[in-house]
Amino acid sequence: MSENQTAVIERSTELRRAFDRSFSEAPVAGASQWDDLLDIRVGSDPYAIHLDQVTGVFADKLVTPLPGSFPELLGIAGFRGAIVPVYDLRSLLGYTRGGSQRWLILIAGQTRIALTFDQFEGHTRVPRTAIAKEASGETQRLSVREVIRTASFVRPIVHLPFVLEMIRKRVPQGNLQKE
Amino acid sequence: MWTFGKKIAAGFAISFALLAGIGTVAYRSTVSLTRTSYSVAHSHLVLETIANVLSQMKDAETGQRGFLITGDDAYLEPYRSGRDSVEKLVKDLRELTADNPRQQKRIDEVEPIIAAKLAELKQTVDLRRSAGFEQARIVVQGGAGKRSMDDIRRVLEQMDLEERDLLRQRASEVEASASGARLTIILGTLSCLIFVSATGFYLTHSLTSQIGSVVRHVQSSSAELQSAANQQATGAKEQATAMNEITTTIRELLATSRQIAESAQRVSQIAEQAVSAAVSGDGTVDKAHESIGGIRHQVDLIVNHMLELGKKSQQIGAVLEIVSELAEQTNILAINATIEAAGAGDTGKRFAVVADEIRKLADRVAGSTKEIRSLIDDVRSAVNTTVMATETGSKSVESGSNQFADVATAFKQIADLVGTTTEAAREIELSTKQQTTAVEQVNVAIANVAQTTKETEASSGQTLQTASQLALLSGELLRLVQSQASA
Repeated sequence: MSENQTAVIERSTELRRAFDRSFSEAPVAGASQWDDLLDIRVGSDPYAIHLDQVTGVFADKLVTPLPGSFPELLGIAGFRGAIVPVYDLRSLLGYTRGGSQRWLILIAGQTRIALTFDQFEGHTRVPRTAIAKEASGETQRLSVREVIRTASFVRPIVHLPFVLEMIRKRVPQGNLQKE
Repeated sequence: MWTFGKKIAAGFAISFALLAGIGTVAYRSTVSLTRTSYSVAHSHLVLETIANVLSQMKDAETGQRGFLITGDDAYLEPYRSGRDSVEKLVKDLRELTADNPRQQKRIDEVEPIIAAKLAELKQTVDLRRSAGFEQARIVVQGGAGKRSMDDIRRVLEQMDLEERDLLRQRASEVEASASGARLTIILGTLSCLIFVSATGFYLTHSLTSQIGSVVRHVQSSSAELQSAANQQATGAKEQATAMNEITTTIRELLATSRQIAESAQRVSQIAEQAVSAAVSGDGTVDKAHESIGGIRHQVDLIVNHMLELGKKSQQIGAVLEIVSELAEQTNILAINATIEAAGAGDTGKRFAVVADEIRKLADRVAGSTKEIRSLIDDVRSAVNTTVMATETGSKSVESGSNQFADVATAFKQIADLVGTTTEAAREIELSTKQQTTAVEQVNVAIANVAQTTKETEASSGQTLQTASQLALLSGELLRLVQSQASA
């Protein structure tokens, strides 16, 4: 048996053990000390989004373009039987338009709005102590007010309420769909 | 323009003609003078003979008178001498005057008178001796003897007169001939002298000018000849030097040719060995060609297997894409389940645990999928690299096979060429030997040429010396001609 085969078997055994352990252990106390976030990329920059500010993650949704002078509005898409306007997070964060725009999130709240971004990197759970307020000099954008700061990286957290506020300022209230 | 020979010949011809004319005239005058002189002498002889006839008749009469007077026989001596001589003298006189009819007629006339006188003398002598003086005196006194003697004197005197007339006539002819000869000689000599002088002056002037011109040309040509001879001598020296160098080079060439002949012989031997090696190598090439064919077949199999492996890897990649897509969808589903569970409050916490585990599994599947994709990419890359390398190797083997076929063909050609080379080496060996022989002959010929060149060099020096002497002689001749001309 080769060395690679031995390593693969060890990894498989460890995965099975961890899977079994997750169902055998009691629920973790103090779960409220952790925050769930979605790791995304806008352009080539990494960002994070609080999971509790999102009601769904989707991919490869058909977006129907709408005529209008609001460039951030890409169009409309159907989510679970509802028509939701889709906005470009790149444009809203000040990036130039473009990219694949394959991924979408549905923002939690009364107003149903979907945002597109370039890449979805996964779900991450970080201790709340790792989330820090945006320090002056790290980013000048009002859309980023917190960052995930670990020993190895710093990832800005997109402040979705500000994004929603920015959309509301640009779009007449009547055009926004209420839940 | 007349040549020197013509001019000189014409001068001499005219001079000869003049001399011939003068000589002819002088000869004719001399002949005439001689002939006239002979006639004068003849006339003198006739006169002398006439005088002798008369003298002998007188002597005979004188002896007859002395004997008649004395009766002494001693006085008869003149008588006998005269009697005996007269007859011969008359005969001579007849012969001397044979060309003169008048004189012949007179001789005919006087001859019987002389005979009668001699008979009268004999009669009286005989009477004196037989009858004595008186009888003889009677006969003498009869006067017959005296008349005869007078007739003889008369006829002889006529003959003498005629001869003397002839003598005077011939003397005047001699004088005329001598005068003509003298005049001819004097005038001819004078005219000849004038002509010769004029001709000499003309020839001298003409020949001097022409010879001077020619001599100047000769002098110029001599100078050119001297220069040419000098150049020829220099060239002959250079040629001699060059011939020495050529001789040395030919000797070196001879040595080189011998070395080449030896080398060609060795080349021939080596070529024969090469032919053997080529024949042996031809079999080896055939075996190697078969081996390369086997290698090409194996390489083709490897390529096919690797291409099949690449196809399988692509299929695995396609399936893995499906797995990755499922993992991604599972992950999305788990995240959405987590979100829904969070929205369900406390009742959703347990579901949230399951959803979280599903999400973790989806993440792990996604990670494993990435690893597998990476491994498959490595495999596909390795397969592609192997296929490319194998195809390259196949092409190399194909190319090598083709090249080896070319090599085999070339090797056969080489073998043939080596055989041809062997023949050529043998021909070269023979040719080189012949060339060596030819070079030896050339060496001998070059030695002869070198000897000839040395002789030419010596001859050139002699020519130069001769040209210099000719130049000096032409200069001296020109000075002579010009001095004569100026004189």
